Parts: sequence; structure tokens; C-alpha cells
Amino acid sequence: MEMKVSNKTFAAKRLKITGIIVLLALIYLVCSLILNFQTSSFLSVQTGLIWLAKNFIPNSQSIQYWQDIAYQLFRTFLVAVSSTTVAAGGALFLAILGAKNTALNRNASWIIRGFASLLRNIPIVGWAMILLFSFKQNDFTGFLALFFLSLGFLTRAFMETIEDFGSEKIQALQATGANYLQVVFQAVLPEVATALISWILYMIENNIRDATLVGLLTGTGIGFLFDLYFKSLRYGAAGLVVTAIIILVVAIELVSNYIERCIQ
Amino acid sequence: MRTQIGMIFQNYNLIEPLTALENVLHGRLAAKSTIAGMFSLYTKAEKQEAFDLLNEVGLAEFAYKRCRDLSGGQKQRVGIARALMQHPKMILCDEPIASLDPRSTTMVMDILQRLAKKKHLIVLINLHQVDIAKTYADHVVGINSGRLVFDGKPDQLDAMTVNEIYRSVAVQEA
Repeated sequence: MEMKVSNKTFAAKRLKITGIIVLLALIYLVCSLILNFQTSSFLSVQTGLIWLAKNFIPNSQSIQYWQDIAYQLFRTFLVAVSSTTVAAGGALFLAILGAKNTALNRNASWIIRGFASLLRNIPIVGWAMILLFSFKQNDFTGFLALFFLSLGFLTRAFMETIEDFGSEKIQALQATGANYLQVVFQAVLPEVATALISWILYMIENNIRDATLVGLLTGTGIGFLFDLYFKSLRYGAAGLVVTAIIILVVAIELVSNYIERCIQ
Repeated sequence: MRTQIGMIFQNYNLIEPLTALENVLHGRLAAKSTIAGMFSLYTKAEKQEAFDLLNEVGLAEFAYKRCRDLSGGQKQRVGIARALMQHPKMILCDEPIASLDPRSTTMVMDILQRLAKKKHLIVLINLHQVDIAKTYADHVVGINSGRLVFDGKPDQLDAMTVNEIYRSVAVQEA
């Protein structure tokens, strides 16, 4: 049989791509009609930015709030770090029992997997709202919301890290006659330690951002302060809050990058 | 039962972030209590023995180096020391030299032969390198697809038998 270059496949592919682009445009049009959203609104983004620059730039008046801001930022930072570290402890325990290569029982492994996925798939705002009913507006609610989400996320992350490490080395140590706990402490933990620390650092960074949002809902920390300044029209001070959060997040990022370089 | 058989693997199976010495001490875990094993509470005598074993395989100066920084041949020698740390009666080697260069191959095989004689160990090795088997083995068994093709002294193993062994697939020698 003679093989020929077929123009048909190329034409079909072009048609497919055009179809996808038309479809996306249609979806956008339908959505903007329902929401009564005008495409020309994009043009007003510029005016919005100018307004933002005029009002939100911290001025000499807003500087007087820096102590309050620093204190609340510190509290928010502590909530993020404490929730992450407590969650990491629980997650390590669950992950060892849940990972396929270190699980003691297959059913327990599936239960842990499901539990972690459930915790992880409820968004942080969802957690904060659920917990607000029982724990009211205080730092502990924020702590719990971050804790549950981190527990779910870290359990899944740790589990996958442990599974990636494979079972050959585990079997090699079992072949020497070492028992389960000895293998976990002497083989699994040393092999995965640096990867786990990276995950914990990532989670702390993430939780500082989320803690700000949670504070808005639970009326605590830096999120609450932003809400307060914003609603009382102290835009300069609110701008200072945003600047402080950005500085903290960047600083944490730099510190965690440094730590990761050191432990490699 | 498990402690009486030491195992050596093609891909070494060492715990890479730990030092050579710690990996050798793993051979002692079965003889220790759970807690002592978990937290590396080895006795002075055990540490000394592990160090002596590393010295015997020529790695004394690498005792405190992390295994991930060692070469393939060095890792395999740490693997041998770990197996010997178990005080085994027998050592099973699963293609111990398959990922090694010729120099490391000779070194690893020399060490295995020397220590097997010195410590009166039975060493069972499966290999694909016929010349290595002929040089080092006391007894060779050739297997093709699970069927015994050759069973005798290494010098009885001629080219025709080797062809017969490799006619389609696997081989095993001891």
C-alpha cells in the first residue's frame, strides 16, 4: 500500500482548534450577558488603578497605626505557623499509616486517604464559616480552619512523598530482620525528611496568605484590621496593612528558600 | 532466620542521606530492641565492629560520608559491610555488579571472595557475566528459562554450554 501525506488530518485539526476558540468566546458572551457585565468595563481598570494609587498609598497620617499593624501581623503569623506545625505532626503519623508502602492495614490506608481528601477539598473560607458557628469570632477559629486544611493537604503530600521513595529500600531493611518501627525511623524518615520540610515551609507560606483571609471572616488578626480601616475609610492605613502583608510574605518566601538551600 | 541470610542488591538499596557507618549499623537492627533500633542507640562495640567492617572493604575514610555522595562501587561495598554486620551464614547477591564499571566489579568480587573465605560464608550470586563467574565461582549452575542446563565446576564450562545457557533468556550461577 502506498503511503501519502494526507491533508485531511491537518484540516481537521485546524477545524478543532477554531471550534474550541469559538466555544470559549460564546461561553464568555453568555456569562457576561447573565451577569450584566460590559466588556467595556475593562477600560475603567485604568481609572480604578489611579484611584487606588491616590487613596491607598500610606501617608504620614497612616504611619501612626504601624504598631497595631505590626502586632496583629505577628499574631496572624503565629496562627499560621502554629496551625502548620501541629498539622504537620498529625499528618506525618497519618501519612505513614496511609502510604501504600508503609501501611499496616489496607483498609486503614483507604480511610486515611479519604479523610485527608475530604479535609483538603473544603476551601479555607468554607472551613472558617463552618467553624464560626461553634467557636465564634476568635483566633482559635482561625487556627482550627487552617489546621484542618493543612492536615488534609500535608497528609496527602507526605503520603505521596513516602510512596515515591519506593518499597525496595524498605524491603532491603526488612530483609536484615529489622521490625516495622525500626524501618520507619531508620529508612523512611531519613529518606523523606528534606522533602517533608519543603512541604511544611510551603504550607506556612500558604497559611500566612490564607490567615489574612480567615481573619476577615473571624474578625481577628491582620485581616480584621484591614476590614476595620477599610470600612472606616482610613484607606491609607488599609494600604499600609496590605504593604505589611506583602513584605511578610516575601520575607517568609526568602527565608524558606534559604532554609531549603541549607538542608539540600 | 532472616538475620542468617545477608542480601546484596543490584541497586545497593542503601539509605542515601545517612552516612556509610549508619548504613552498616542497620545490619544490627534485628539484634536490638525496637526502641534502641528506632533511635540509633548502638553500643560502642557495635559501632567499632561497623567501622572495622568498613575498613575491611576499604572504606574507613568514607565512614562519615553520606551514601548519596559515594560512587556505585563504594555503595556496593557499604552494602557488603551491612550484610556482614548481620553475622550471616549465607549471603545472597542479586546481580551485585550489574551497574558497576570493570574496576569496581573486580574490587567488589575480590572483596566478596576474600571475606567469604575468611568468615566461612556461603555466597550465592546470580550473574550474567560468564567470565566473572568462571574466575570467582567454586561451582556454577546454568539455568535457561527455569531449566537446569549446566551444573559443575567453572573449568568444565565451555563455550558450547554457554551458548546453550543463553539460547533464549536467563542464567543463574553460583
